[in-house]
Amino acid sequence: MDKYRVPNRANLLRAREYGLETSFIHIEQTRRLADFTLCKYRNLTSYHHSSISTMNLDQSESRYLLSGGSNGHICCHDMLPSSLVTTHPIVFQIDRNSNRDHHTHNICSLLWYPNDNGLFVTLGLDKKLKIWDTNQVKMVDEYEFSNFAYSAHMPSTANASVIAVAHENGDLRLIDIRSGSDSHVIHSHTKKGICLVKWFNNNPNLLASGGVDGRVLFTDVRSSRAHYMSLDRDNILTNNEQIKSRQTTVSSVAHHRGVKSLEFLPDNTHLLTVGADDLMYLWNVNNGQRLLVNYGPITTNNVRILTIACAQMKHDRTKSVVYVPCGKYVRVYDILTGQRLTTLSGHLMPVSTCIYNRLSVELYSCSDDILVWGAVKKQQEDYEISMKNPERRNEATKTLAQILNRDQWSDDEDED
Amino acid sequence: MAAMNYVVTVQRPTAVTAITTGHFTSPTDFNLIVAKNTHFEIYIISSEGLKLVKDVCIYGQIHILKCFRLPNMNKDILFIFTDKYQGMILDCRKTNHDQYEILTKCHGLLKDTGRQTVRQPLCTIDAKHGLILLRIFEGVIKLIYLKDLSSKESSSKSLEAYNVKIDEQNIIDIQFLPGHQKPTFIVLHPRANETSVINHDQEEYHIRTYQVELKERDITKLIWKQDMTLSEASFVIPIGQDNFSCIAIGRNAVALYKENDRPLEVESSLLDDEASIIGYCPIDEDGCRYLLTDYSGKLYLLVLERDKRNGSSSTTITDIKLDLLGETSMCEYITYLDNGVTFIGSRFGDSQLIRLLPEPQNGSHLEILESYTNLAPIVDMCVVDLERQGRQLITCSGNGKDSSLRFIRTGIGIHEHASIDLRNIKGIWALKIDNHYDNHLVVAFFDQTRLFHLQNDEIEEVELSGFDFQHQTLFCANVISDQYLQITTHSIRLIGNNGKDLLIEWKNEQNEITVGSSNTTQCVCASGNQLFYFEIGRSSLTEINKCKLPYNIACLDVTPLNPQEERTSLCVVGLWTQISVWIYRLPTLDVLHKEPLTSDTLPRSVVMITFDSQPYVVISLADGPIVYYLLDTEQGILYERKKVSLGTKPTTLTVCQRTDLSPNSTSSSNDPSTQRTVLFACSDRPSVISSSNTKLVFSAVNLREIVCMCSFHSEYYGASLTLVTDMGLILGRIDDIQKLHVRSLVLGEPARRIAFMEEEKAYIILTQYMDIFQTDNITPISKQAHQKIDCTTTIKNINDIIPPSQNDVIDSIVILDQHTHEARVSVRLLNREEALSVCVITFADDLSSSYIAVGTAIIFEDEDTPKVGRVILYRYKSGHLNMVTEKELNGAPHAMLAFQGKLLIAVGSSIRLYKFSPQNHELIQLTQYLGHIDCLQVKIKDDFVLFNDLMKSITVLRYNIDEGKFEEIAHDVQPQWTMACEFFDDDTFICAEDGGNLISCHKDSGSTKENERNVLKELGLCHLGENINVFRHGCLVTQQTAESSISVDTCTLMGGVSGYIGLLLQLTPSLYQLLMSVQLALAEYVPSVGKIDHGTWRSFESDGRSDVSCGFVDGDLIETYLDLPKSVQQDLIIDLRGENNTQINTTVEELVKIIEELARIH
Repeated sequence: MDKYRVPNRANLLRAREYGLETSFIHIEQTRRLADFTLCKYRNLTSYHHSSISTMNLDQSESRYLLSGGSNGHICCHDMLPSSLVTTHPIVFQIDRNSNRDHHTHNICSLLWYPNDNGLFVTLGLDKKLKIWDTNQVKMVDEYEFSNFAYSAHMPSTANASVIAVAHENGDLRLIDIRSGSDSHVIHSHTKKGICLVKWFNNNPNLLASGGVDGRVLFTDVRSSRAHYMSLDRDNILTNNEQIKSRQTTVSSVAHHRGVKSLEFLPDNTHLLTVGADDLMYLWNVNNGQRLLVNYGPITTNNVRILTIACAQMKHDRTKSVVYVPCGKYVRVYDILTGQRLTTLSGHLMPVSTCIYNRLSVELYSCSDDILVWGAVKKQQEDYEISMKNPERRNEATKTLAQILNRDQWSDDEDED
Repeated sequence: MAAMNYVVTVQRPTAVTAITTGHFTSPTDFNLIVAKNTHFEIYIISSEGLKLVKDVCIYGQIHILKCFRLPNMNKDILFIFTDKYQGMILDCRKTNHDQYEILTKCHGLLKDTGRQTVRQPLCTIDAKHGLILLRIFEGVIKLIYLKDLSSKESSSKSLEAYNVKIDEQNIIDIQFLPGHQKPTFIVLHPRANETSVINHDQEEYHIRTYQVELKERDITKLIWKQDMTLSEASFVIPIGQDNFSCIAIGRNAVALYKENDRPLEVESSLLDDEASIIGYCPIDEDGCRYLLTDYSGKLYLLVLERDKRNGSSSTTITDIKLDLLGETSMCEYITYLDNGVTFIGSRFGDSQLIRLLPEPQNGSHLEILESYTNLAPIVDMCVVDLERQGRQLITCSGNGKDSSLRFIRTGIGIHEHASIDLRNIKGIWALKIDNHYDNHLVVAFFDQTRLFHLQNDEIEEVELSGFDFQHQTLFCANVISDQYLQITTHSIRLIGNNGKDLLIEWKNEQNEITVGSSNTTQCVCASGNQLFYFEIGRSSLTEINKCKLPYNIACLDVTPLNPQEERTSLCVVGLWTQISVWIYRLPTLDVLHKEPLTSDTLPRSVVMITFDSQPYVVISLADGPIVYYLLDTEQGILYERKKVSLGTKPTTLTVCQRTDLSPNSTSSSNDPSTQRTVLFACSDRPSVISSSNTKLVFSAVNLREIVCMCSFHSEYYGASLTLVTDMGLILGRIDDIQKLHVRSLVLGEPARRIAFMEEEKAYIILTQYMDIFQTDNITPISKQAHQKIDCTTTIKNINDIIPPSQNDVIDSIVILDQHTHEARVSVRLLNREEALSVCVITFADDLSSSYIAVGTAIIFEDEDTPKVGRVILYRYKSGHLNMVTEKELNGAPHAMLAFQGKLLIAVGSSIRLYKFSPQNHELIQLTQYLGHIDCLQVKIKDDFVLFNDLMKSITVLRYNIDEGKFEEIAHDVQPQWTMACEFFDDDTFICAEDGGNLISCHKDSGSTKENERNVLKELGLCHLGENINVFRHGCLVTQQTAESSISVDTCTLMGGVSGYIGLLLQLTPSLYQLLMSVQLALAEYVPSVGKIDHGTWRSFESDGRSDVSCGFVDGDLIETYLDLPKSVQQDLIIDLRGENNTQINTTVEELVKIIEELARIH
């Protein structure tokens, strides 16, 4: 935790005034990063009746949060303003009542088009991938597959138009939304199938895929080879001369059991994977070596795909934090040391997805509801005190009553 | 919608951000090039000093500036890299008109995705192999290949750049090692490799060498690497040719490393724990001596002693010595020029030109030759109205020992040499009697004339027999053949023999002479409505012609349009009753032109003058304004009328030569040999009228009122002026015609906040002294005060936590006298207590006196945010400061203001309102509003309160007086890391963002939807390239033009970290449309240095968000329109399209008039 201590804000502000501090934003973000607590007074207008399987935040404004339920319903919330007390409105919803093109089964993946938020992609267990026009909330294109697909992803680099879809049978399908072609299929994994696919952050031609067989493969889509690297958990980066690290082979396995999560760090050189073997590994993507970081066991029961969220300070990469859904809790780890910083508890059902909002410096997590976490400990205390203030009671009775009726979540309580 | 802003630079950035030297302007010139954030200045170094030859603006903040020479070229070229990742290679060419033209040879966007580095981008250049090496992102090195650039073609090529992976992270410095076969470079970095990321030990540093494979576009590791134990290593300097050795400089250590050799470390008592070396430069080519600078401004000399036994080729360095030379401004950028002269480029103090002395003088080895004003960083500022002398801007500038208050005014300053107490002067003229220099002054009073003789600095009244002292003199001058012409109300006298003999006298028997004028050979005078014309010869004054006009003559002029000529063929006459100007042909006295003045008041004086070879006729009217026309000398016709109002009293116009004004214009870019004429307008708003790029510029003179004046070129004082005010006569020198005048008051410790107390004519500043600022020659202002008070507290929470021991940081409140700038009182705060905000307030409950409120916080470095603070209330009356009360706060009071007779404080994340109870001497909290994270600044307008949050943009509140509560009106929903905010009007707000952007927000109070009403719309976005610390309402110029269409009411000044002062202004919708379309046309036409697109430069870009620029007109670009040739001006406005592609019709004249008005307000 000490690592996330930063200079006193008064001194930082002073340094900024004199032009002595150029990383002011990053330092202040660091201060907030490891200090998340449940935003008790921020609600999202409730919508989902079933559990929420996935979420996605738009990249251009970091403002609109798409969430998809296990019954195929999709909804979009406006996450601004990020005030202390607020109810986020629904911008639009896609369900049986409002849209005839709605998904009928569990939503596996939601993707905002990376360059602007005029377009988004949804993938459901009804074997359909749909492309939507955000402004009209109208489906503009649809692809139907013969196999189940669990995950889809789009590169975040400019001018990218290719969606990668991971099929149950081990095929990787590439769909170019410009031409509408969906015929490019790479048979990369064995029959056991792929769970996950993720493009590299900085390269629109490289992608990583994780399979039920526990393999993590890096593929160059330009090349005819199925993959160019397969991560091996025994290929370890170490200074110890005695340990001979194993080189990657055909039989390399990243995890003993299926891969449940893949996440590239913002520095473009590291990858985090979580497997069904309840382990999380950190890899160097350039040479495929595993870094010796021990995060301890991470229980992933029942959730097919976990979305973990990484936050890394641009100015100092030693300050990187990962938010990992772990049962009903969200655990916060320091990525490079593996130290568990804190555990966020508030959900009543297993959490599947965490999303870090870089602009507002807050975290969204979902199980059967969506919760917002932010560094608001002091503000909430101030607010509570001001609400109890007799001077204000009259006007605040209603709100206060509402507050008192709410469950008091605590965030520091550990499940162990 | 109301996002129609005009943003223009008042003062370009002054902080030095990079320097380089080289033969840039021509193979023979040696140049110093100084980058100051968004512009760079090119100086020529000559024996007389530095001469500024060109100031070039860049669409970007300059991060890297390096001069180098490719092997096949005979002069140097310049590489620049900006904050938006634009790279460029520039060349300079001298044009025919002695101007310098900057050519872009190569350009390109060098942006990648990747993790930004903590440090500034690093760059090193190997000119021999034509290779630039850049490190912008972690883990990647960019190689830029330079192709043949010597070609004359003007089109710019794009930079050829390749990315190469590099293992070393967090690289501190990177340098090419010279003289190797293949380009070889050295990298300084902390930590060995990735595994030790986990156990990070900051004190370990390493160097590694690499070789560039030019063909393969790759780098390979070389064997030489070195671990070092320097404290905070920050620089490597390669030593020697074709070998592996370097000097590494740490915070307080210097060591030499060499391949296969043990390191040689400097042991010197100078490098103690306090030392902190931040800059270096080599002195000689062979790299034996270096200058080092440290954080406190000390300058060191580092000498490498070489063993020259075995020939010159393989010299070994046997010893390194370090000597202290002296003290300069704190500087990171230093460069050795020539002959012991060194340029010190500072971010926090004035840049300096110093000479290194071989022998110490007064204990210092250096002599400061010249200082260059630097306002950076402007931390706070206030605008103070001076009585009838315009406004003054006071900025808290600088840091550390170089801190100062800067008093900034526009206009022209007067340096007074001498003054004479003479009242009721009507006119004054200088005469050269028996001398090459002006040595006599003819002073006219009502009904009499007096003559003064000036010898050196003594003045005596003399009576020369040739002169008439019984009448009021109307005109007096030296004329040909060493004669003097005196026109009095009584007669015209031609005087010879050094003033002793009257040669000829001409009298008008019927009437008194009312006005007269002459040049050296011609004389005109008027008596009532009669006009006489004389020619002056040797001992002769011949009446050539005369005529009668319909009305009385008010003023006339026969000044030759060409100052070299002795005669003119034109005479201008201003008339009473039928208010007009007539042009006469001399000597025939034919009327060539009659120009009605369309004015109710008579012309007071009229002048023919040539500016930039364009003849003008300038007429001043009796109620103040000035009308000017262009003059056709052939036809005698006046055209293109323009009117400018200056003062409110009758204005007298006097012609002066420019050389009279500034005898030694060293820093001016004008060639002193070209005589420039200026016109001096004497009135209650005295101004100097000069010409710049064929437009007339009116510069105010910093004097209250001038009745009349004349230039006086004396032997003793040099070129000077005599100015007659109602208080007497001033003999003085006038400053260069310069926009801003900056006086500085050295503080010796940084001032963080400033407030002005009108009643006591005092400035209140909050200062912070640290022991490291200590120098021998500056006493910090808080220690200079006449009265020193120690502040105590009775608040238990504070007493419990403050450490009892003496602290090396002392915060003080200092009260300065407005006029003398002396410190009257200083209050020393508690240990660890820092003063954060100050305001002057008169409470509604106690109108009898005003108070000073100071907000402080107890700051410990290991706390997240300050936990406890207080407001201290002082009463300051007639020099006595009494503490009235204090109030504990549970956060840091970042800002405070007087708001409706109450004290408004932004404490931590809340906005609180306090009232003062005079009975109990107590501050009582009335209400509070809970904000977001930290309210940084708060502004008020009527009953509205605006504040900006650390990261949640701006919020507008309204104070409901009936209920005594704040209501949130609207807020900006975007997360925005703000720095400062200000009101534009009731519905428009402006805020400055951490990434150097401006945002203007609009409140839609008329909307019917509630969620639209309480959300601020971001209508204006613009990248300024400056981090703005403070906004203040006001502008430095008071409204000048009567018929101006631009109101200066909404003017807002802004002060930035780089010393930038900008001005913001709201435009009317139609004007905004017009200027925006002109801006688009201009952006396309005006060539940008480095081929950076104007739209790209101004586009909003912050961490994680980018947007196109809108809602702001770039005044700096708009005002370049005035300098364009007329045909281009015409071409640009042919097809202007506004919103919805509608045609905008305008003429060049209209547009020029508007832009000139805009240019005049700053």
